[in-house]
Amino acid sequence: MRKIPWGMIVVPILAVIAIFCFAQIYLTAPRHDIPDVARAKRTENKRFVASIAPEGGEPKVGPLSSWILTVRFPNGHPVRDAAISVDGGMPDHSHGLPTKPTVTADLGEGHYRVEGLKFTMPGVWVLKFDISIKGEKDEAVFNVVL
Amino acid sequence: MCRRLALLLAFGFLALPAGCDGPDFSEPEKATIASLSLSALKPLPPDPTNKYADKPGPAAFGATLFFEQRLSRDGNVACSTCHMIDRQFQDDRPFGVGVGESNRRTMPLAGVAYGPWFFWDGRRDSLWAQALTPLEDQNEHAGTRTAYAHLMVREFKTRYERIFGPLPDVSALPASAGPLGTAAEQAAWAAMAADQREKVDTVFANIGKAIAAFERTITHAPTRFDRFANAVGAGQTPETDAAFSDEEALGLKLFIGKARCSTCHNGPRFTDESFHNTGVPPVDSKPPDLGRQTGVSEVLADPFNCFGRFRDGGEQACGELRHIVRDGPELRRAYKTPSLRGVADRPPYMHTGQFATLEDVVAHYAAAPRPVEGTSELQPLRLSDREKAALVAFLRTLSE
Repeated sequence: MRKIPWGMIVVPILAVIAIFCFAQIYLTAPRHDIPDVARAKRTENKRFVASIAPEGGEPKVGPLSSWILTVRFPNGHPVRDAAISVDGGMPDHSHGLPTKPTVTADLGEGHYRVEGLKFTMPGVWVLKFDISIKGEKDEAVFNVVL
Repeated sequence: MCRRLALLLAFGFLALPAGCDGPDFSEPEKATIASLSLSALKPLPPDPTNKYADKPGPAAFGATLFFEQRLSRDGNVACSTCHMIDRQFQDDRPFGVGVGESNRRTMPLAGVAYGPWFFWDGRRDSLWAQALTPLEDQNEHAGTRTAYAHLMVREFKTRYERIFGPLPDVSALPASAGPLGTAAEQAAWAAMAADQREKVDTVFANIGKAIAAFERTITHAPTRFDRFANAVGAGQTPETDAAFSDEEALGLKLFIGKARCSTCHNGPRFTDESFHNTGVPPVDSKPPDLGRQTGVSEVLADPFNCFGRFRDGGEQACGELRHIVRDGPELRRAYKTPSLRGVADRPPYMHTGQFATLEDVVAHYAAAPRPVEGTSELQPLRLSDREKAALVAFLRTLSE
């Protein structure tokens, strides 16, 4: 009777089991794509350079927060007297912002205070600022991670 | 040889599910678990719109009023009729029963003051404005503003005046008049002089402020989950009365992971204090209910809201109301995320008690049915029966 080559049968089976187990652990773990979290960037059509900075420290889940939005032309000159609207949400969760943030003060030199931002859960939030001035219009989009 | 290998293989297969689904937590998961502990709950923020909010005298008076049945049309309904003190300040019914039957489930009150919005649809923006609403609701206390002012003068004059100052002279006012009463009561209210109405409204608002001061003292008690979370957060192994079974730990892992529960049920109160359409079915026996969509209109029209003249302090406290989302499809049939603390002990679930058991609730979230109206934020979940049972087992640890 020929001897059965158990080693050649069992080792591959155990290897398959091990691979399956690692796959269960690592491939089914939640994926975290790293978003672009730059707080200063060119607007979508590159008409302006926009930056955002929270007032009173980094935002937390829960309370309303206030931010300073700064808008400049690519040559560095401030964008004054712009009309700005704010929108956003959490694309991963298919919902918009829980509040209606607004620009409450034009602080001059391209600085605008945005009040009423609220983050109700941890995760990636998208903030969109529609910026228009004298026929020029563009959108600044930021990711904020809580 | 053959038997040994067979045993080895059998052991390998048996170990497979345990090795892959074991209740070990990653460092980010441990941080999330710690963030859900009651120990992470911040002190209750002040309510500058109610200068009596954190004073013991008004809170004690508010406790009296909370249990006072004469604050109702028929003398049989107090706040505590539905917010029962030995039942987590709720009533175990799908609809509260006062003078009539309300259209929604009574909410529990522990930690209620943490949220910016009140009721399932957020139709009030302060706890004191919330406390006033059932007093005039025809299905709840069904009383009127002048009747309550007369009651204060007749029964509570000393205690009221010690806190709020002199009561107005109500002797010439109708016994029962208010903007939400019967047609005759509404007519009597409209016939009153504006300054008389304002004096009565001030008494009414103060009743709400006292009740709110009491309600702010109702807190959550620590649970086995909190003991578990505190140990995990401290890098220790939860033991004895902090320990979780493998099933409970799996449920927690799912809760903060694959089942996406903690997306909305986040923080130490297990709520984001916000509004979501989760496709919960409407109830045929009740009027159409659009949830937050109607709630937004109501809070903006409420004379006792933060913009109104009965607010204490400055308008800077009104940020939430100023930045309220006024319209949009996401408001339709959106309801407030309830806290899950103590949830296992208070069926039925959802804003009209649509689900009798936690198993039903988990099955709903797993199936993610299309909503009757609006857009549900839910996405179907692939949960095995074992995983669904684990989620329920975990939720029960929030009651022990």
